[in-house]
Amino acid sequence: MAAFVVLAPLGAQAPSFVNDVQPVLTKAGCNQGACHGAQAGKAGFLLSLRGFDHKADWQALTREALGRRVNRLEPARSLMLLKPTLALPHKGGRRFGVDSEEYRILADWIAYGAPGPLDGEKRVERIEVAPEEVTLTADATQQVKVTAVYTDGSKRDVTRWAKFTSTNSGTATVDDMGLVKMQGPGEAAITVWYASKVVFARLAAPYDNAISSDVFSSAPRNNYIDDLVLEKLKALRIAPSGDATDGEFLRRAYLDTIGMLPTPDEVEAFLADTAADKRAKVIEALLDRKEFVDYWTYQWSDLLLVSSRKLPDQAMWSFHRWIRERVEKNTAWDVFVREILTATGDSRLNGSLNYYQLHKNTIELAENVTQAFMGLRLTCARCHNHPLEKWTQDDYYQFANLVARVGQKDGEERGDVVIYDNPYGDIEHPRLGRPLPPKPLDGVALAMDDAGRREALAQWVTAPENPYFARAIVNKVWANFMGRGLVDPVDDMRTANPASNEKLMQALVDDLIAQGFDLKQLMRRILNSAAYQRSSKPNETNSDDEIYYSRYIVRRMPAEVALDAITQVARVRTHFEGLPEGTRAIELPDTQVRSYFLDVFGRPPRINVDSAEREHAPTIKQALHVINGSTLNRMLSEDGNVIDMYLRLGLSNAKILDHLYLSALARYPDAREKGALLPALEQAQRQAARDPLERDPRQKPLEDLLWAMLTGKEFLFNH
Amino acid sequence: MLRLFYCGLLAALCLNAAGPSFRSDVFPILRDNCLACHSAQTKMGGLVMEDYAGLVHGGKRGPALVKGDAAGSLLVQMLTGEVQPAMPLNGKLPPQNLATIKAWIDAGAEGEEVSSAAPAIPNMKPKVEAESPIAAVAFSPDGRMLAIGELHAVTLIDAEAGVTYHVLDGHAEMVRAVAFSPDGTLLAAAGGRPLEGGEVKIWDWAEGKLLQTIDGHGDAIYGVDFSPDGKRLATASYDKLVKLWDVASGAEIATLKDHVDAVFAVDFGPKPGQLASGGADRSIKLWDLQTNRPSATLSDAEAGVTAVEFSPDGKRLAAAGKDKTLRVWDLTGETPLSIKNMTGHEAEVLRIAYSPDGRTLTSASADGTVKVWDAETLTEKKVLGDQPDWAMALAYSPRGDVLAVGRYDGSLTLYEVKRGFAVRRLR
Repeated sequence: MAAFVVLAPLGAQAPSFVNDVQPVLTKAGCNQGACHGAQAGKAGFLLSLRGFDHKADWQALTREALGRRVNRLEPARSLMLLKPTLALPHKGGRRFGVDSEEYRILADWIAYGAPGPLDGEKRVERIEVAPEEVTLTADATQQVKVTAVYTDGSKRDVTRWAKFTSTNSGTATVDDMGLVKMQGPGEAAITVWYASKVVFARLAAPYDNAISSDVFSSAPRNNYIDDLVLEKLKALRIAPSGDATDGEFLRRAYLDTIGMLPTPDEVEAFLADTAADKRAKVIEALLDRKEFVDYWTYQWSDLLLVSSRKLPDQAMWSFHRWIRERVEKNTAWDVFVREILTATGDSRLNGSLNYYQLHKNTIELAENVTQAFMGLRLTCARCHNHPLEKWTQDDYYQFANLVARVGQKDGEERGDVVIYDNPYGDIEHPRLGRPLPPKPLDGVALAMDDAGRREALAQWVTAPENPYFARAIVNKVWANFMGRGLVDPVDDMRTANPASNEKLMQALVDDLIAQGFDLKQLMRRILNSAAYQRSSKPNETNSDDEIYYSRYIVRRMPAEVALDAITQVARVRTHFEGLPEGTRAIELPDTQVRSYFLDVFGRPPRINVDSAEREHAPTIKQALHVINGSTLNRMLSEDGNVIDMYLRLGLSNAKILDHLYLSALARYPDAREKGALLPALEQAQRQAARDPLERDPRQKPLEDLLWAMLTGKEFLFNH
Repeated sequence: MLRLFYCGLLAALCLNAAGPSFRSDVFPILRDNCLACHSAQTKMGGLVMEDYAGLVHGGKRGPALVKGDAAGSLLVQMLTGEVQPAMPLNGKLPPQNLATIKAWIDAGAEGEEVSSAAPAIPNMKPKVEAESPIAAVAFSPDGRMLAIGELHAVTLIDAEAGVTYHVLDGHAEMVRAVAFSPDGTLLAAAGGRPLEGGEVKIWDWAEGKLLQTIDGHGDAIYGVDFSPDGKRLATASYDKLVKLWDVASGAEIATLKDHVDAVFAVDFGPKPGQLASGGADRSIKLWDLQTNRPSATLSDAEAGVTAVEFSPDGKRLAAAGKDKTLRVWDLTGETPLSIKNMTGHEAEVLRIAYSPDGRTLTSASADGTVKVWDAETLTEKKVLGDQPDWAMALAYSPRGDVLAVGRYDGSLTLYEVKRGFAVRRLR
């Protein structure tokens, strides 16, 4: 059979498989997860998910099944053109027409002999989007333009081939061609995906509120947080709520900083204090409290999954102690993490080594490092390039190799381990069948025989340049105080999940880095901001706002804090199996300790690093348990509880009411409350006068009152 | 005056009543959402929606349309789910599309002719020099002639002189399998168009005379073999079927149906009644030709099977495929016994061939190598490395001294087996 010899017109060039053909196949959806990109392909034809494996895809198209899909001599007769145009039946339907750009590129590529990926061929280095950020009206449309920048410096408009999704389709929708349509006020980011690269276009449409600019210029500004919060609120035309009362501030600052309520004495002293800087002073005092250490040790124990579920008791305790020591010393966060990532030796001497006992397998360990310290879930890339992120399967296995040589053997005592670095051992890339050199994500690869793999890992993870590390911890701390992370969910730092106020996030990150990762400094900044000290009561413009911090976000107390608060107000002690009397819930080293209350209120099991493990939502079960469950009922009538104390001290009814309100709600009862409660107590007392042998008849009404206080929303919620 | 007014009103009503057009409004909706299953080829439910006539004619359940009554039309009833199964099967039609169809039917469902759903296939020429891949190769029993399967043709090359003897053309598409009859007089060349149908041409190759064209199978044929007595032909197709044909008449004798995915290879053994096939369903089947049912299914392979071959004495069966592994079974016992396997390649195995003396087994792989193995131990004897492209065609000369390797890039090389040297390049 004679070969066709047709010379290409001068200047014409074969489309590149990598840079032209793959984008067409991806945009047309051929290689999506539901079609030929499925793990097993479709109808005998398998492509890599969104075209990450160029060589395999090229071979599948041109050579597999004896050259079934491409006909280089009669390009238009190629199956890969006949099916998607429905010239032949195609279960996937019509993907493009004969006169489309898709068709032209694919047919041209085949006519040029269907060349494969070339060595040294230019690749997409990054993509750019225009506009990057724009403010529109609530019903505007906006075309987004995507430009690919290649390794040789050249640029190309690839809008036609990019994939678009909206992070908030209530505010903006986007079509296949990148045309955005605003659906209402608010902000949305359009995620743009092209050739495994991801960028965003941010769109905002202000609310239809008429707000005088005085509102923003006269709003209190205590530090840069306020400047940036107000800037965002002004742009969106949302007015901030006013200042919280001193009582409200004090209660929330205690709960958020040390996980407990202020005592009545502390509340009274604070309310009586007339110093202008009394809030700042109380913040300093809180940061120095012993209970600060308890509360934050608990937070980091959640993060590090400290639990006797997988660790022997001794090991669990030593891990907890290790964390506690660091919180006590206010160890800089980068040092804290670096110590864990580079630790070697005997876990009896270094509790942090139990981290490796929890994550024995290399894959698990690598995934935990990214998830716990950077808020990145890499799991998708274990089997294929991450479909929505830039992480490739190569990245994944190169990263995993940074921890592939962690050796582990039994120590001298039971439950004790020795961690060391092996001189060999790698994870094989499953597709290539060989290990790739260890490499931090976005970093520089190490030599295969580099002995300092974990050093390099720790250095990269904790480096100020790492865009995820500081961001992840800033977000966690911010969410603790502000009720919602700037990024939400709080531990989902992927680029496709932008912060609600990116400028503020960046400023906080820069601040934390400048302060040497001093977390107390970060907390001080947040606590002192006017944004933190705002009232939780909405005004007419901000009742919808849950993400821009125009008011303090109301939330239920976390399980441990709630239990401790109830215990504190009732002046009783909780009993936890195997732990000393009076141990507070927040002091528990382990989430395996039995407590129905804590379980019902959503204590996390500490199995996976996942903020969703902690249940925040109020549930019926919680309501039933506080209303009618054993935890509270037992406390109400316990000898020596707060009621017992009132009666023994013979306090006046007014004093009792004041004390109870101050201790549970950090405020005095108001006139209406007094008007209803005082007569009731007096009436009970009058009965007592008639029958002096009876127990104080206020016992019962006071129990009812205490019950009502502790089951009330104002008590169980932080506001 | 009044009359004029009425006329005007009527005209306006008529214009309005014309509603959406079939060609420009309705058909594109049907094309994009329905034709995957209701083309003239697939014809699910007997309904063809490629043109107006197809809709009017309807399917097994009757006409799709009642002109002027959208609500009473089966098409609409199934699109809304009022009649099950709701269409389209894999989703829901956007409401504006449904509205267009309803408006069109209510307005009388007038139809114009539309060009058949299948778009006209443009006539395109390659823009660079391109050779047809060589997808199959076979030696004539006397070893003098080499038949190679290409696009639209089988080319016969004098193996000694290296010159083309005949080009037997007119094949529908790629010739993906070739086989000489045991007496050497006939050549069966099989192929066909993917998704459209299989084709086998039986040639009196010496005369260049076409004896039979068999159109069968619903998809291209990937394997063909003559029975030892030369009277029957077995074919394996992408349509999941193996078929047996009478060579003299071209009539179909039997359809062997048990594979659940494409069948890539079929081979008659030397002993009476031996026939094996292998395919994408990872299985190898030995067929009982009395009942036309499998007598054994070998499921050892971990991925699709592309090659199956009996040893020349019929005591062994070898197979290989996408799992990069050669496997050998002993057939002397009551049931086939797996005796050896060897993951000897770094990519899928495309073809295998036993040497005529049965002592070596050769495999061609997508990893760029052809490897010669000891057939008993599967130890590597020779590597014919640096293959310039995928070696898709493989054949031993009848004396076993020469190995022909044909490739995707259209090249064809003869190797001397003993030393593993390329002795001649024929293409």
